[in-house]
Amino acid sequence: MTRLSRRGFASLAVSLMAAPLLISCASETVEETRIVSLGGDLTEIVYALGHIDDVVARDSTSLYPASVQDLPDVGYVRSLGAEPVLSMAPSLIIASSEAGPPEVIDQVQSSGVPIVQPPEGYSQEILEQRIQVIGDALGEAEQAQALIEDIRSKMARVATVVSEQPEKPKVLFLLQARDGSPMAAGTDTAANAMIELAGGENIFSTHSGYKPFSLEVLAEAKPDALMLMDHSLTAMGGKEALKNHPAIGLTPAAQNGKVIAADGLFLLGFGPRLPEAVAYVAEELHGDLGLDLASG
Amino acid sequence: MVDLARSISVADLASQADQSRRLTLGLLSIFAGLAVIGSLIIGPANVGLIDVWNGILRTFGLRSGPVSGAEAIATSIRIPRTFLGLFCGMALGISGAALQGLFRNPLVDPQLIGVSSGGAFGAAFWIVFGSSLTFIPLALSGFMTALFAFAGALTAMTLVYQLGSRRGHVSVATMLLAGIAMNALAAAGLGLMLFLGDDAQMRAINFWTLGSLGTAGWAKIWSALLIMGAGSAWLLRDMRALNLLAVGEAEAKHLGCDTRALKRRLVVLPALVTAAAVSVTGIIGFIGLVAPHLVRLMAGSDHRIVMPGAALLGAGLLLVSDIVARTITAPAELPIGIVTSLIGAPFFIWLLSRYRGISL
Repeated sequence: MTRLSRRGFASLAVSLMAAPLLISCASETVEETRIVSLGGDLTEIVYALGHIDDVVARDSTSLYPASVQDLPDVGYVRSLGAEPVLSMAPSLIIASSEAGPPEVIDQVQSSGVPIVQPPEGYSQEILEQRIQVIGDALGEAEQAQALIEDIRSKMARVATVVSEQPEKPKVLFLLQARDGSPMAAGTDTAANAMIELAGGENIFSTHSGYKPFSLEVLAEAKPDALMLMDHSLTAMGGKEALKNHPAIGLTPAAQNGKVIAADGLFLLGFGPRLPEAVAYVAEELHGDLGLDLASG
Repeated sequence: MVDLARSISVADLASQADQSRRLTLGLLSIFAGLAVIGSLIIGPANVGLIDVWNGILRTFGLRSGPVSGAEAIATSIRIPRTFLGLFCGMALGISGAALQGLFRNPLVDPQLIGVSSGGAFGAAFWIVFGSSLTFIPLALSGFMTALFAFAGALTAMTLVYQLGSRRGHVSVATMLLAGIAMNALAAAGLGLMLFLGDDAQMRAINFWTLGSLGTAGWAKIWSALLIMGAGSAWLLRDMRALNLLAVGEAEAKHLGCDTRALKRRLVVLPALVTAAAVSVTGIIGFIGLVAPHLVRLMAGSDHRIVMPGAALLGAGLLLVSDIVARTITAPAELPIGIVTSLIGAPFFIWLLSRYRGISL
């Protein structure tokens, strides 16, 4: 009861705050599309559908294309505030399902601004659904279909080549390995999905999510390749530091310099650049496959 | 006649106390020794006794040549980790004993004077803001978090010490309150860093608040081991003076003890060794609180037993907790702070309810 009434009060307060904004927005131009895009992968889809110029604000994970970095940043996607988002006078909000906290999303919703939350997940199917949903919201269903077809054909090509590889190299994705036990990706993560798509085998398949991984087991499992986001690699001190690390240095991956590092959004975003990302990782793992899509 | 009888009984008592002291310390040494052996041979990777033995020889330079497989795991992961656990446990235990003796308050531990949370804040600050600084040479960047943790812990200690002392005169009550304020401040700072950080940074900060002995390799830990070893040894020299202090500050002064210098040492040294521990393992709770208590319950409150006993017991408890932390969810690792608190807190509650009548 108290919770309900509190939420009711909050949404009333928000709508009162937002009302003048909405009115002023409506009085300017009715047709102008003002998109607030909350989620790096979603912003990429908006870009791929040719509507990046309609985006007026973004969250801090929206970093691609580089031009969106000049737009106002309303905060981190999981800890948003209703007021910063609504102050951008959006006519459409595209938000990741991870956007939150949920109370804030409720408040934004009750302000009456249309909000689209495409499904979240780490697969080609989910990516296609997301493109579809955003395409419909932007009135670009045809464009979306064309993009989906393009991704489908590229992914099929990559999948065929990957399935022909005789070996399944052992891979470990490290979120960070500076202090204490390294944080590695288990199942149900974007990194795990990427390793599997690229024809590798994740050596941390007993646990889900990101967990501290035993250094002893890391050394014993002898991964053929390590995968990281490039800023984590820099924070650790680069490939050379991996080679000198007392445990990671014992692995064939570090000794042979097989360290796959790329921009986090490109590597794990599961956005429209997914075929390129899979091709990039696959060629790093298996050698040149002649895929000719990779653009890291 | 009467005097003679009394002196005999006092001598008897003294030798009895001596015996029980030796017995207690002997038992605790055996426990710590078993914990060290356990920590060397138990783990998720398949490392045999012979690999550990060869690894030990290699560590002390008695074996050379190419190293691979299980022996390499023993040499570069398990042996340094065991040393780290041994020294951290010792340092935390002895710091707890010294601070409880100084404050004459059984609730005090190194965390209470704000050193640990200051260290965690320092580390978190670097994790969130440091990675954007590009002028740090790559070779140094791996050590920066530990350096910031150490700096944060020392800053917290300096502030608390300044607040709690007037012209070198330590006021125990003010210092406790200053410690509580410092903890609140560091907690707010940590919260702010968690708010500002992204997912990966939050997970990295997690390590500092829950602790782990997973910081492998001598390169990262030797300086901390040195500080913890030297600081703990120095603290042991004060165990007799702590007994005098237990009688009362004025009495201790009359008996020829320089209480000003003593009190200064008893704040600075525990803070220093705790800062060193936090800078490589993050915050590990409960060892500093529980170890001295258990020793007092076993053998009374003579600091000549409590100080070395707490060091041995702290080391044993920490090593056993680490064995649990690294095996129970293998190949994933549980943060060790969860284990120490999960085992330590209920055990402590049980002890309190059982020995409620005994004054500490």
